[in-house]
Amino acid sequence: MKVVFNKKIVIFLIVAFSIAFLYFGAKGTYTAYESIVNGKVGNKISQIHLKVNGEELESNDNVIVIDDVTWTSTHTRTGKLSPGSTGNFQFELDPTGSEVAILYEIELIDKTVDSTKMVTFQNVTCDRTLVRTSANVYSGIISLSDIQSSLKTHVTVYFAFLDDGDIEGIQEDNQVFDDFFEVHLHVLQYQGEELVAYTG
Amino acid sequence: MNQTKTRRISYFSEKGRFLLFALFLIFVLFVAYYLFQMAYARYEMNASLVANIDKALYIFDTDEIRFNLDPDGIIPSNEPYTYRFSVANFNESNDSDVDISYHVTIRTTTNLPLTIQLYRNQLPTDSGAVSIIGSAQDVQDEDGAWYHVYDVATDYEMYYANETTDYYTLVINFPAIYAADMTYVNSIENIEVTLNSEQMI
Repeated sequence: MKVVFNKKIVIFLIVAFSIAFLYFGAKGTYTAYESIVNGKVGNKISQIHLKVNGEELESNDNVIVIDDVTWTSTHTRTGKLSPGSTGNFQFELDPTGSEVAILYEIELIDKTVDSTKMVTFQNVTCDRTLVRTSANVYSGIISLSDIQSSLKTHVTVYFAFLDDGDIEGIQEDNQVFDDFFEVHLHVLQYQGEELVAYTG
Repeated sequence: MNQTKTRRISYFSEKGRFLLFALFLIFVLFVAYYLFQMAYARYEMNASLVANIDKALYIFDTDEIRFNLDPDGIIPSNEPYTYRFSVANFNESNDSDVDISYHVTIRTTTNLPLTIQLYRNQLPTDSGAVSIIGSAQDVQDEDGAWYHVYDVATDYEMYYANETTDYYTLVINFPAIYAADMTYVNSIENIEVTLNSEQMI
């Protein structure tokens, strides 16, 4: 039995050696021109782009300063904010270059949300469809066809510095941007979500 | 003995299989979570919009206008005592950006028999000088104390377009005829001038 086992091994080795010999031998005999082409095949990754007032959003810490606030005030130096003033500002969303549809959410932080803020938002308008999805959040979609048509979205926010009768006068110009209001813009790749209107 | 050993082996192998299954399940969950994230990953960006707002400053700058008259500070005299104060819509560094209106009120305790006059942008010695306060009204506060209240009928205005200062002269008469009256020897009179201002709307 032991002899038979060894014979099998020997036969296996001989066959293997023969095959190897024939293969390398044949390779040497029939050498031919040969070229190897290596290539990588992959899908191009689509990209999202959105400019706010001409500034490209790049990270999660974008801060856009709005300089063109329009005021309506009485008994107040032109262009200055005082109790009783009303005003508005507009910002533009430009999705040029984006290869995915965009869902954007505008969160408005005013005095009704944070009592330390000075102004109260009164209305939000948009030249595209904008849905109020929460008490202080408005959402909209920029579709791929909108992007291909180079459509830009313009959002206008109206607000007032309400005179509730007990506002301490500003004595020094030491307020920071966040003292008045904050607007947070959350931009997502649109994946077909339905925008559900806030019913309060 | 053999039976006990077999049971132990069976027990441990059962425990081992359970552990192996649990590890496998955790691994599968991790893989599934990773794949889920891969499958549903999407672009996301955040931005904050803030406004560059010019604030209207409210500057209503006044001097000290509350004081006590005590026996060391005032004695009956035929010469009036005068006190000056002013109010302005600007200070050293800023001008007011809003139009302001203000109202003047004087309140005195009733301890001394004083007569009071108030002149605005005039001196008592100016020809044609007229006091802007009339006769006092007696008013009782919540604690039962009585006061003389002199109310100025007019609300005065200051416009942001002009740097304005209004000068006031308070004239207090404590006639000399009271010099012999020991009733007022230890009395203190508190005089409070209130300028209540607000933004014009």
